[in-house]
Amino acid sequence: MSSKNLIINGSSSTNGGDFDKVSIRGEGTIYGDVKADVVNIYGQGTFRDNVSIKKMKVMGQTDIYGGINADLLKVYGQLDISKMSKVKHLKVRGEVKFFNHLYGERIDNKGSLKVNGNVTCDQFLSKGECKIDGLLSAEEINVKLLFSTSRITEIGGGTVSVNRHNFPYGINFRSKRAHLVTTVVEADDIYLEYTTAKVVRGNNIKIGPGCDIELIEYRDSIHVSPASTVHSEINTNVKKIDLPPKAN
Amino acid sequence: METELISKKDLLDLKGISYGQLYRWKRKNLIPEDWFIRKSTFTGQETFFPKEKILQRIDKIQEMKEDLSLDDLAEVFSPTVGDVEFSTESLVGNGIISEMAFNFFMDVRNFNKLFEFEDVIQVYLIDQLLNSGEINREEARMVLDLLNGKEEIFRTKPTEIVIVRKFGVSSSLLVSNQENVLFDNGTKIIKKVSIGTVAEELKSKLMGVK
Repeated sequence: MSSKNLIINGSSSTNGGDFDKVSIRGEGTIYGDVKADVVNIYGQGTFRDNVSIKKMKVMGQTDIYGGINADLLKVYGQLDISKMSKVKHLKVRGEVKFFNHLYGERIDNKGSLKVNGNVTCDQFLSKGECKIDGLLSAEEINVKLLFSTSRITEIGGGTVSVNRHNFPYGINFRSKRAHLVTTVVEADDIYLEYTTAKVVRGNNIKIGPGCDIELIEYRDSIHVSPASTVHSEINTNVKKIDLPPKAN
Repeated sequence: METELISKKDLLDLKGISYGQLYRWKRKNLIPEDWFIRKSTFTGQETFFPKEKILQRIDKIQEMKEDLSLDDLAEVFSPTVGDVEFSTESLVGNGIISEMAFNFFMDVRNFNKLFEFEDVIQVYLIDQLLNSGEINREEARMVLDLLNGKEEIFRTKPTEIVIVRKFGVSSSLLVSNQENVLFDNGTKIIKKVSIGTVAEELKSKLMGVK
């Protein structure tokens, strides 16, 4: 089969379809679903419908009015996506906004990630800014706070760790705004730093400095740094002793 | 219809599972999204579940996860079973459906291809209903007519079949995305089955055979 490439240099608009490679240098608008192996965008790209690809790289600015289904998505520029998306491996180095749910396996954010919906993946790593208006659920959640305030409505998963990034060579760029605001954190093992939360529930909970938490419910162990405020703590294991008769 | 609810915390305590496990199962779609019911309590937001359904589901997951991987389990609980085709011998021979129900189905539908999962569900359902004695052959025929060509609906949405009788006349309904279906006083609901539950039951039987 001959290879089918869609290359836009300059400014143009065209219809979607099945391609090997799509590349936009300049400004391009594509109407209709696009299926491709590789998509590279260096200028400004607009996809009016769904995009299904193996590898996508955004260096410029791109809007996708449909959803995206990708194996690998790297964003160095700016990308907006309107509908529900599945991205196996998402690498954010610029800014990405999802206006709907996001499903993935590995999400690696070193720029700014904004999601209006739930984020579901295996591994979630963030070192930068993230704003999730919904539930973030992952086996491993690792949030490193750099400069700005991150907001995640709800966090749930296996292990959750939130801490401020340590800059090398003793340089201290840290901002006081490097903070995480959330309502509920539920996981087996939890470590939190500089976090404001209403409820934190889990088996083993460790609270580092700078936290303000209204309620902690823990099962096995708890450790709270003196530089944090925790309004109340409940050990759910204690309650468990008088629970069984009720259950029978 | 008021269903009894159980809070997430009580559920975890009762079943001895952890938050991590619960979220993992949710991610794998072993627990449907719409079972998570949010309510505000004095400690802020809490999540509740329909008690009976979630307890049953968790028992099943705990029981089956010994032999099956989570992905296999997701298959069992999802409303579809991929593109598997079944031969008559494998279904009747293994006692999944009775020969009578099978013949009845063939009689009504003039069927002569391999069975897909959607077809098997229908035969299985008819088999169960006829076997329980709650409906007669005429009504079974009616249900099959009702389901004919509606595979797309019950494959993608949570769907229930309702069989009613009024004044000796029976009628059947296919209700998807149900909120509430109300009938007048003279109408008697004979049977209400959710296709999802039937599919789940059938799937665990089929998995057992494989």
